[in-house]
Amino acid sequence: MIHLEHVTKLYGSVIGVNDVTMSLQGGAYGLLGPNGSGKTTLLNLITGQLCPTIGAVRVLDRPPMNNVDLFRRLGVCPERDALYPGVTGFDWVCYLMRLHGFGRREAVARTEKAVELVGLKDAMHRRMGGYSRGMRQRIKLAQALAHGPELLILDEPLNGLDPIGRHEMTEVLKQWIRSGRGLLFASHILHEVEAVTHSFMLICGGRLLAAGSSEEVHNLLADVPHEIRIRCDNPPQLARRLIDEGVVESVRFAGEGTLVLGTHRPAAVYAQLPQWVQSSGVRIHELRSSDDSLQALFNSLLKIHRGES
Amino acid sequence: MNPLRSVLVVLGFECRRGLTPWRIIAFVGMAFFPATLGALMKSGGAPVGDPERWIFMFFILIPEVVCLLGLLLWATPVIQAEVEGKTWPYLAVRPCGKVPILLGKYLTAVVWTALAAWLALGLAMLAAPPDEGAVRAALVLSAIISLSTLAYGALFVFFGVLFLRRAMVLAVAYTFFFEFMISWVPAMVNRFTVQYHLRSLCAKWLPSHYVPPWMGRFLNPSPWYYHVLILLGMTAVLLIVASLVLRRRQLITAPEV
Repeated sequence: MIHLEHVTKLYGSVIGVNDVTMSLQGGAYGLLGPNGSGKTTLLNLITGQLCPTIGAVRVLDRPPMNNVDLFRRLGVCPERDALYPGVTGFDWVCYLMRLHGFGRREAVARTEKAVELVGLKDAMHRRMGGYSRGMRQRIKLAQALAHGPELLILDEPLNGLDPIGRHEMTEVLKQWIRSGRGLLFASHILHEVEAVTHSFMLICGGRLLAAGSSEEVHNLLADVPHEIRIRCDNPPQLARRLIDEGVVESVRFAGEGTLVLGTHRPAAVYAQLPQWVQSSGVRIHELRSSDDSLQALFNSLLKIHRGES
Repeated sequence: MNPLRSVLVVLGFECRRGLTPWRIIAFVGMAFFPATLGALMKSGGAPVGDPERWIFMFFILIPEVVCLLGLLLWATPVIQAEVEGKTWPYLAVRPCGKVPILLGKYLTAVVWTALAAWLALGLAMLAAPPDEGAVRAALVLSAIISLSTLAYGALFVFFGVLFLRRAMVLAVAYTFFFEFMISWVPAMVNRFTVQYHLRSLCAKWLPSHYVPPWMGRFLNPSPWYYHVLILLGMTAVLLIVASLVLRRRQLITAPEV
């Protein structure tokens, strides 16, 4: 489905992607990496919007640059949700379908179907300038799906969606995978990718660091503590409770009313926290899970990759 | 896939998308400006209807100022606006290819500008018509407008594709230096400007009393089809080069990498 052979992309003296070799057969894959890791560059190389400085890219057995035959079989949802503000979602998707060569009637039918699939039928005749971030994500997904591609390439498609929207879009993507078509899904959030596919590629610093199943990624993550930041009205009481429960490895007081927990079992903390909070009478104002654990994993993988550890 | 159909799809969509208050105000302003100026001069007692003065004034105001302004605004940023607005990646992955998108956008700029210029000419004919041969003068200027929008449109699209940043500044600088200064230099170099050929055509197609005698040294005596072929040739070459550049260019901006 996608083959990259020693692909390097340089922007002047800055390396976007560094000597990436990979071969993906049909199926769904998650491309996981922190912001600025080279995910978007890699996707731009795969969709033919960038040309590799060194190496070769082939998608569905074709070089992607200016390849109109390939574009017919490819659905692309870029990260940026900048859309024409004065145009309705329906008109935009319909226009893009017409650029795919569909006649007016066929383009309208495909647009309606895709817009309905992403749950935006009620708002499809509204101008996109008035869309919320979640609605823009939905219409972006609709334009990628509407022409019925064989391979869908999505760059952070769930950004800005509320939990219900995330769930709905995840279901759309799962249905897509079940239909036997290809998917490459880039994100910097592990559970987002995990909800859709169990095949991962980890990218950081422009390098492809690891590839494997979600279990393998979790095994890697197990060695890295997860950090949770809680702002509440009684940090000492909450800290005592968490230590008593034995689910945290470290507790730190960071400024007024803020507690920072280090744990190897974040799922257990999240599952039990509402009950502990209720029983102890502590009021939580803010709960934030940092991506530091994932970043720490990437940092250690980068060190291994460079032969430093 | 039929490229011509794709060009027309882009043209239709871009024309509808262009119906914004700002663009309509610009359109109306450009259409009314020459007639308003002519009417004011006429009411002040200036002999605007004198053929020599009339053609000098309205040739500069309509095929030059209106067309150049319209195309600078609407043709130069066709690709830059998509790239800066981050909407280019959605278009670049369509099987119609990048070239029909460019040509559709070019035609949109040409249509908008030509409509404004033709309307400006119609209003000028009503507000301050020439004393004689009004129909012929209107027809000649209409043809000049068509050729002007096609050629200048291609020139500015070329600038827009070649220079993604400050394309408009460079296009203005080029226009001022080459089209307004070099085109008046009585040497070979003026043959490379659009205005020189438009001016020569205007003189060819209009009766001789429309052309001031001093203009003779700034005109080319070649037959009219020579100038038309040169202008259409320039248009084709500029669009072909712009298309080739666009096909090869990697239009991803820094924050997206």
